[in-house]
Amino acid sequence: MKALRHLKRALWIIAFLFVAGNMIRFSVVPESFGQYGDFRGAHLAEERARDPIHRGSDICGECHDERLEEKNNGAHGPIPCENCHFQPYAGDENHPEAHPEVSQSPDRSQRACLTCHQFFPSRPSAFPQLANFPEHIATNALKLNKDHVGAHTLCVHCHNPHDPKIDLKQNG
Amino acid sequence: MIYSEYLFPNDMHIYWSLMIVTYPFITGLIAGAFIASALFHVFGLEELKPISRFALMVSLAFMVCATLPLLFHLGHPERALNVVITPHWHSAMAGFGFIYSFYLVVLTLEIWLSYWEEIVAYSKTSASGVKRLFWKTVALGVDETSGEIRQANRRAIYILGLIGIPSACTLHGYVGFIFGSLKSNPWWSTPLMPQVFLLSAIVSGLALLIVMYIALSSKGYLTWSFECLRTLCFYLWLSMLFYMISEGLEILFFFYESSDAWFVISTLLSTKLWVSFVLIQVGIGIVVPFTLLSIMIFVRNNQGAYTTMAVIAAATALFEVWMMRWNIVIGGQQFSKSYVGFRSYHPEWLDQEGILTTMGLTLLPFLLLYLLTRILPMKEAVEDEEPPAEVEPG
Repeated sequence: MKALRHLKRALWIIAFLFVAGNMIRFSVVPESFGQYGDFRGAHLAEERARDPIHRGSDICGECHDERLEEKNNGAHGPIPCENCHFQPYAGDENHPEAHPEVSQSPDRSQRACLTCHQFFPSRPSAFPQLANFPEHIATNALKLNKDHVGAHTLCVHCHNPHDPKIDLKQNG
Repeated sequence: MIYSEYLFPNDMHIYWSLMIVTYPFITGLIAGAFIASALFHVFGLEELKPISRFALMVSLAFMVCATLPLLFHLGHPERALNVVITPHWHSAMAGFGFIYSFYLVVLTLEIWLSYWEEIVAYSKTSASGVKRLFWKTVALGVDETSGEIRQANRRAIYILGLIGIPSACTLHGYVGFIFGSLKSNPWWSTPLMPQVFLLSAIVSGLALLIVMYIALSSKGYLTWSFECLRTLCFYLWLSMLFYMISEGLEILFFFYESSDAWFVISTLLSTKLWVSFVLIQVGIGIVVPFTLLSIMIFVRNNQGAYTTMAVIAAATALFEVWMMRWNIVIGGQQFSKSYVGFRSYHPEWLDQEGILTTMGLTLLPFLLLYLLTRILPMKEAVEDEEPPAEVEPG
């Protein structure tokens, strides 16, 4: 048995590390962990207590009711204002002061529109999407007789983002 | 450019970088080196004796560094332990923590017992008091090396090796499991993945040992034995054979099933992975070492030619396994969920997860191994050469 002395000692050390490790584990797991599932239960209350960053389109309508109505009646109706304008105010109650900065915020580039309207085979075919942007400009923009035909053309030159549908007959 | 490639907006970037390529590579070397040592300690393959203890040290050096690439990859490395503090059945990553810890204990114990004679000797003969105290602590205050202790150690090493083999297999099989269980990615999602990872791990571990064995024994750091090299090469050939079958089966299934997955995988193989997978990994990394190793089976007397071929075969096999990690990790992220869009990956030199970090993390285990060999000898235990007569029953 004397021959096993060093092995016994090693096993005691491992047992100690195992127990100590588990004790540390139990002491650091947050109290509310597992209350509802595999996460910290108290997290839900903490999240609820936070000031919302996005507040929905209705709050924009309090001042910009015409714009909101225009958007709601158009094809972009279901899209919240904040999708393009970002948050109107991030916890800042002083909206008029923040406004000039916010008004510059919409991304007017082709990229912004193509995030949704780039052609993907997986998108419903009825959804307006572009496979070839230059071709779209060459055919449709010419019909509108616009001056903006060229590589610099932006979607917003022809489409009003709040109500993007264009009646070619009426405009042409 | 991105938008013309039919990529979904949420999969424009390659998130699993070079670090995730390095991580399974280093982990694989651990498992491979350990299995080489187990062939001697458990299965009694005497030919591998010259490398049996060194293989354990290689395994330990890489083991200590295995988690570093993951930590470099994490945005919040300080949260790394959370995964084991609150483990979850739906998170295979937690399993890594437990398997890794368990295997580290097994490996440390095995090395500790393999070097028992030296540890005790140092605790008695070291010149400075600090060193003696250090070695006494390592020996846990025991200073005996009787035949009885040797026998107990040998038995314990055998048992540890026996436990270590499934642990090593689990450790690396698990890395494959993580990839194999990602059902959203057809290039990864196959039950063959753990097996492919495990076999490639053995290939890389053996290949590294072969290269190091030839290099170190030529300088006299390890005892040269042609039979040891032959055995290592034979097992490299064998593991490579099974690895090739598994990897080949995987591709064959994709091809024969011709599901929607094959639509994207065939495009991937003929475009983005044409050079790195087809030409480099298969064309050089598999064909060259496997052909050489097959020829080497018939080379019996010409040691010079055999050794040269062994170096080339092992180095290319090692390279193959690295490329395999690259092609799986990066290749699997080069196509979009749209199945028609593809993206490129260009690692930066100075990035946190860039080329220099990768090189540093790959070299770090070698530095650690060097330090380990400064503390403990590389060569096999000498005491075994004089078997105690009383052990043999009449």
